[in-house]
Amino acid sequence: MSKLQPLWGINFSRPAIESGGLPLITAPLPDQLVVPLNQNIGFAARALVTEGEQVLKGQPIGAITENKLSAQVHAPTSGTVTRLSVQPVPGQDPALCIEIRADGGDHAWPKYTQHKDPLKLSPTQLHEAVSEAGIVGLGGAMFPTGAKLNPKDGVNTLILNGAECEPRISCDDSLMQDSAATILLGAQVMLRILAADKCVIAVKEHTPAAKPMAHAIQQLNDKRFSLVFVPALYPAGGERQLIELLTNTEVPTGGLPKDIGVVCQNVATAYAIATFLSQGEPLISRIITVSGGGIKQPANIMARIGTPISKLIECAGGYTNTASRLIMGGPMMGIALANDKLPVTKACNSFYIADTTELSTTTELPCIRCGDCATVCPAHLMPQLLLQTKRTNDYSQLATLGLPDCMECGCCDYVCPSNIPLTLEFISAKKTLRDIAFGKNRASHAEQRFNARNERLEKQSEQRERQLNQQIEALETPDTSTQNALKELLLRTEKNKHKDQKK
Amino acid sequence: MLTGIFIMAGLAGLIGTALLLVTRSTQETTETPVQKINALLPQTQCAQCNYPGCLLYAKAIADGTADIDQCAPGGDATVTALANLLGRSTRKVNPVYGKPQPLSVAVINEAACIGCVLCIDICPVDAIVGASRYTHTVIQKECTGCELCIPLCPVDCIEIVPLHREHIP
Repeated sequence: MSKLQPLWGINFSRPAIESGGLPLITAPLPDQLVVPLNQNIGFAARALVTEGEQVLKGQPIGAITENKLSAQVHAPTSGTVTRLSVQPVPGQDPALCIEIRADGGDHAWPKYTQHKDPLKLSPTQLHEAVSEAGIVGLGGAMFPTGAKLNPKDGVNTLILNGAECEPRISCDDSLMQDSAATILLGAQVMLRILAADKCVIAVKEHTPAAKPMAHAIQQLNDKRFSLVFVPALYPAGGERQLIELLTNTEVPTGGLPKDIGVVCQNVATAYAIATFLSQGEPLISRIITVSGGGIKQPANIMARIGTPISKLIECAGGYTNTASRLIMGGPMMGIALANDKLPVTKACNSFYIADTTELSTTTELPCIRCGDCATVCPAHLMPQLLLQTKRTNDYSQLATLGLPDCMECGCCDYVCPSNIPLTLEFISAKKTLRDIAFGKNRASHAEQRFNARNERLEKQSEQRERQLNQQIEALETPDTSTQNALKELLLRTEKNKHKDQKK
Repeated sequence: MLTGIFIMAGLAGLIGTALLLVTRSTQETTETPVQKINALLPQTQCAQCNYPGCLLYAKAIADGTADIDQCAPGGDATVTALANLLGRSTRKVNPVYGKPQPLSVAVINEAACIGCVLCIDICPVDAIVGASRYTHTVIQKECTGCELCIPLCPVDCIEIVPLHREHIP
């Protein structure tokens, strides 16, 4: 196997190994769960239950919005629905959430069949099952997996992403150590749906999961599967970066991996598919890494969706005295959360609790044009130029410089000797660019309608004028037919007169 | 001597043709100045700039009869874009022509609407549906938030609200 060595990224290998060996524990069932309905990148699910209703574990409580990108939501445990209300959701807009008080029995919904050999089902049945189980991309993007596994896309390679993008996250790693065989079953299902002929499983070098994964592949003895080691670079586990590393082809700007015949799925997504098919349990739990300097006993925790974050913190021994930030996601791309009362969603792959020493207190200095940011940029952009353009508000230029390709990985921030918050500027600029595009669309649409209306009004007034002219004309020119009729009438009266006289 | 002249002449001819081809292929599309200016305007057709429609304002800018700071719905960003296009210095929107607002739409309080059709007649983008003596409603997707219907409503049942932007992929 050739050595893959990209020309970007940052080597965080040490912390990644440290985190690789975290213990995997299962969080106890909480008394109260909050399940947001917008747990996918598209449209929020529609609530199927009302307050006071009894639900069972795995019962659908949110249905997909028809004909839209959306994903089902299921009850994480059995209990009573206590409240439906709009609540804050970590990493997303506030949305309708279903609160469930657990009855502690954890009784499963009996309507899902447990298949002994899921691969005997037809690809269409499997595809339906993936959507039915409410499975979304568990790497953090929450893209509905059913929509991503489209057999019509002509995909020939499935990439199974087990190479965690961020340093310090090891939820996928511990899943691979724990259930490599189940992951492979899920991958086989996806291959069957896609009618693809190759599956590449990517794991980072020197991770503890490499051995069990290699062993499982050997046991499976399926020629379509291969294991590839990617360098322990950040962000080699990002979808586009991983595809570039493995296939030597870049996903085009504004395009999707399917455009180059590839689909990339997280290992946890494959696991969720296999679990649904073989055990009849939809996506109601996931593994979350809880780590950082601000936590006493970092761990990978298997928890139900909807569990309050504070319960995970308890499982991990609680906060240390120096804990200062609760971050959802990893230390590089994560976002700080306001409090730990928020629920765990399908997007939560990690909570990172930063301690006081990890927070930057430096002030920004002028850019010295060292170009370090350009060397690490995994999207092959020039952050120094983008920053200058952003700060002069030249948005049309930003689009041509490729800003939409920025994945907000934070590599440029990390290496910048002047401590410039580049990523922050780019996130805001990307939003402005989307706003501008939205405004442009709206403007051109309004212009079309305005023009169409003017055209119609013009036609109407023309028509009215024509009618008016006709009427005037009719009044002015004596009508021959009326005159003839008059003449006839006159003649007749004349004749009648003669007749009368004769009498 | 003679070969030298031939080589130089040949080179000049070749490079000249190449340059000509390059300029031809990179030439900008034949947009008139008015079209370029119009493309930067928000097309709300609100007439707050004192011209009935964005195109007429664009024409006035091109003629030099109107200034670039009269578009309130476009806000300071539009003024900056116009200044960049026309090579002028940028500034803020002239407050005489209104205050810059976020993207907004009109909403009719349907319970109060008496069905007078006045707003339907004035709407520059046909965003209001309804008929005489029937309640009217605004198609949110089409409304530009131009506020032209506001002063006409005899029962003041139209309100301008910030646009609730749907999910943009």
